[in-house]
Amino acid sequence: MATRTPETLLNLDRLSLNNEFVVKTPLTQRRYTPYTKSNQRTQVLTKTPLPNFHQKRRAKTQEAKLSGRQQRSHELSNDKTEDISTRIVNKTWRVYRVSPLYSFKTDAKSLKLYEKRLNSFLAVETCRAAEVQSRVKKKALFTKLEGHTDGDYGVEIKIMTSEGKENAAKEELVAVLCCGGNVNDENLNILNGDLTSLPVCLIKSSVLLKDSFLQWLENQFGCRACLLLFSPTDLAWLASLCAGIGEPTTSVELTYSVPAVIPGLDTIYFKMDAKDARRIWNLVHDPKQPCFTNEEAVRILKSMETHFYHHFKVHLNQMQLTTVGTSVAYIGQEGRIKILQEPYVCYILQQLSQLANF
Amino acid sequence: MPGEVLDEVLSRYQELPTRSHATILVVSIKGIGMEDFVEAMLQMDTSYSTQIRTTTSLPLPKQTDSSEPRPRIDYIVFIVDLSNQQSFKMIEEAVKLVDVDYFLGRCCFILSKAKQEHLHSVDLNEVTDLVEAYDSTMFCGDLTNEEERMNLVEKVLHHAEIACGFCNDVNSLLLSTTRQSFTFEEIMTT
Amino acid sequence: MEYTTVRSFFMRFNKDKLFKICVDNKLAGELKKSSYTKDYLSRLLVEHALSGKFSLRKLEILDLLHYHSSTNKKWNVYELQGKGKGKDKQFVLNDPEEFEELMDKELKSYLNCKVCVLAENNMLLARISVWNENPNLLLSTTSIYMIHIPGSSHVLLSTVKAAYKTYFYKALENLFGCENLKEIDLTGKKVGPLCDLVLNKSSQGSFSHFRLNQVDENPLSRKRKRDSGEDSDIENNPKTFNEEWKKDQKIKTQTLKTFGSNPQPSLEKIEFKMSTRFKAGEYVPELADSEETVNCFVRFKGTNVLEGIQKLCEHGLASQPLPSHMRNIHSLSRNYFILTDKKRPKEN
Repeated sequence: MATRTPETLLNLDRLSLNNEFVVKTPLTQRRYTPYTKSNQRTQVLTKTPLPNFHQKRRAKTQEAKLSGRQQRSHELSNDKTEDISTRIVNKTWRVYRVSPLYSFKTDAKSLKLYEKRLNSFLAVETCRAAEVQSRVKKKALFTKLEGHTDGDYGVEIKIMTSEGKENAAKEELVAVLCCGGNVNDENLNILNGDLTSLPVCLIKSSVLLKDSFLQWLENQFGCRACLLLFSPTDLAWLASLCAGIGEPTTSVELTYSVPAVIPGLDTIYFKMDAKDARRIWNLVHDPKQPCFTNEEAVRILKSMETHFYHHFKVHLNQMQLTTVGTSVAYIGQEGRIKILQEPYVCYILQQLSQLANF
Repeated sequence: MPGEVLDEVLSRYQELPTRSHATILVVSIKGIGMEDFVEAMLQMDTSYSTQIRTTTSLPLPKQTDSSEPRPRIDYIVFIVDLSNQQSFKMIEEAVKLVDVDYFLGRCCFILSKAKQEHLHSVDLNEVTDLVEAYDSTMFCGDLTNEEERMNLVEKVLHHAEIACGFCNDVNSLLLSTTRQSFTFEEIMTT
Repeated sequence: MEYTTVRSFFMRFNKDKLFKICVDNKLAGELKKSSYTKDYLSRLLVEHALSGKFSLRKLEILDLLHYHSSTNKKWNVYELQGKGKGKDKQFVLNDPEEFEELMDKELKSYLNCKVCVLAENNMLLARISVWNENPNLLLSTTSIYMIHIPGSSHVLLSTVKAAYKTYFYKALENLFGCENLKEIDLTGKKVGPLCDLVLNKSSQGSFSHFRLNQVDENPLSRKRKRDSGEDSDIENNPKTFNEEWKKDQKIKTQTLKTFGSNPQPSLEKIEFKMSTRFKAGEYVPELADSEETVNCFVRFKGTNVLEGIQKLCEHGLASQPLPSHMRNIHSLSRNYFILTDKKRPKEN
């Protein structure tokens, strides 16, 4: 083996430029140690404030009593703004993370402009796809949605196809670009005025139409959209969090996928009754603290896994979580989500925005 | 009481080194690619002979009189699979039972599936904190991918060679002090 | 027989099957299979059937065989309890007609139906098509399929409509001369493994060696040892050394003792319903000694779950010794279990 002097080891920069003297060390092939300490540590999800629904509900009912008449007139003038929760709840969505959009405005005039642009894009696409002039017309519709606070808002985009004389227009694509709350103000301050941050995009449509829609979005606003996959750590965090909020109606379900070395067994599905899970959650979480921390989440999940271990002697911590279901939401690792209880839609969107912003 | 603990700790000074022979200990749980990794290591052509000893946890079982005496362990490889929580838990327990002399450039951590973030069951920051606490080298790659596996094998063998003393004028301590200059520039500014 | 019903009957089969039926009936064998479309073949067969050349019985048999050859039909297992106490009926295998007549007689007193029985592979396959008003024999949604192994006290049934259940069970009880037809908690998609689990209940796992005549082999032959990897004469790679070979050896012998070295019968899922005390007291100290039960449900799913559990043990994903409700699944002939705690002894 050739001797390796310290100089040859240290002069790798020069060697990479000077091709004749390249000594093939393993380090030149792949100089990649990406996980060393850097100045800006990525923010770890250590804790998150719980939704304070009791206070909010009281405030809302009081306001409703006082400003009944005002509300009605408000509704008449702004027909276009609708509640984000009603749109999103009880439907299965695919979650995409979107980088900040350039020059995206949400006033009525801009939305109409974007509708026109999307319509023309779709017309070109359908002409290209179909050889014969089809009577299928695709129409786009942009609506602004509002949530509980100023921070939660979104834009809903619907693409409907209408075939000639039939009145019923089928919704081919529904997309909701949204952002949830001002949990981390620092992230929003970095952006300059032209960029709008709507990090979460929920889409429900066929694959081809979805791809062309995302392509239009990327070209139009100079952003990038990609599927938001949930890692087992994210799913574990969301499961522990959602086990404690909302009405405990259905159970807390965890689906683990068995590693590929085991050919016969595919998944292990573990379901715990919602009320029992809530009991555990209440005992682990300190009721005086408004925030739910990472340690509490880890404790809850570990307690469930240990309970399973006592019965079956199977180590669940060697397997990966793929789907998680609670009374509030169903979340799948491939980027699928379904929110079941309306009051918590905005809160879940907040969590998704945090995950999308990493 | 301290005497019992010392017996369990893996130490470098209990046996004599073997001439022109490297003994590498691979600490890894089953099912995360350890067997393929060991096979790939043995396929490499080297001027010294190697023996790879594998275990799924530390401390190593006590030797009975009937088997051959255990040779000195020259180099230790800890394998952590980021999609498997148990592997990290085991490594956390195992590093406590290794003599400090091994952490001066005579061991390394392999982080499998570090780049596939959607498969992570273990918090990456926890793992890197552990590796930095023990001031050791970290190699990232996917043990199930053949190309990356060969890459990792080359790096590990290169590192192990130096630890065994087969490279003239290069010592593992020298390497660890110069390790900083191989990584990104921003490290120097901290 | 109406055109539409017969046509929908034939469209259920795939093209290869239709072609085979045509060839068997000398309808269309001149050209190659690929030159016909499924539509054309089915139309040929429908015309043939409507013109009376296909007997209804032949169609029934076709349907029966088709149902049994498809691999994603759900089967429930029933036990005939108290058999032999009343009339002693022996159903001989080479007389499926007698079985069919008897069954027809019994069922006709409760339901409007038509029975068709076939003997195949040591089993009696039966198709019972039930109707309310219009005798539509070819619809498979109103048909019940049954498998009975002569001499055993078990019957496999496809899903029975709730309306017909009581009558159907009573008829079967009369037919077999048993007191009670009980549904045991065993379901699955493959008939072979279900029969295996139920018939060979006491010779699964390591006892399967006795059943399959794998003990008392020629001691000088090393074939089995080589096959199962136990031969220690085969040189292991001297360059690798497993420090934990003793532990691995122990795990291997334990797994062998529990599961045997023969392939496990394949079950698609195993379910457990648990109402037990909370066992993770170290994480939640308040619940460590509580008497309240926690209700959980666990499902193991896969292509061959028992084999999967065996591999879990071998690879260290499950620690041994396994609890008895996991170890003995192959000998319990069920795949739905309810787990409850043993009552704690009262401390004074």
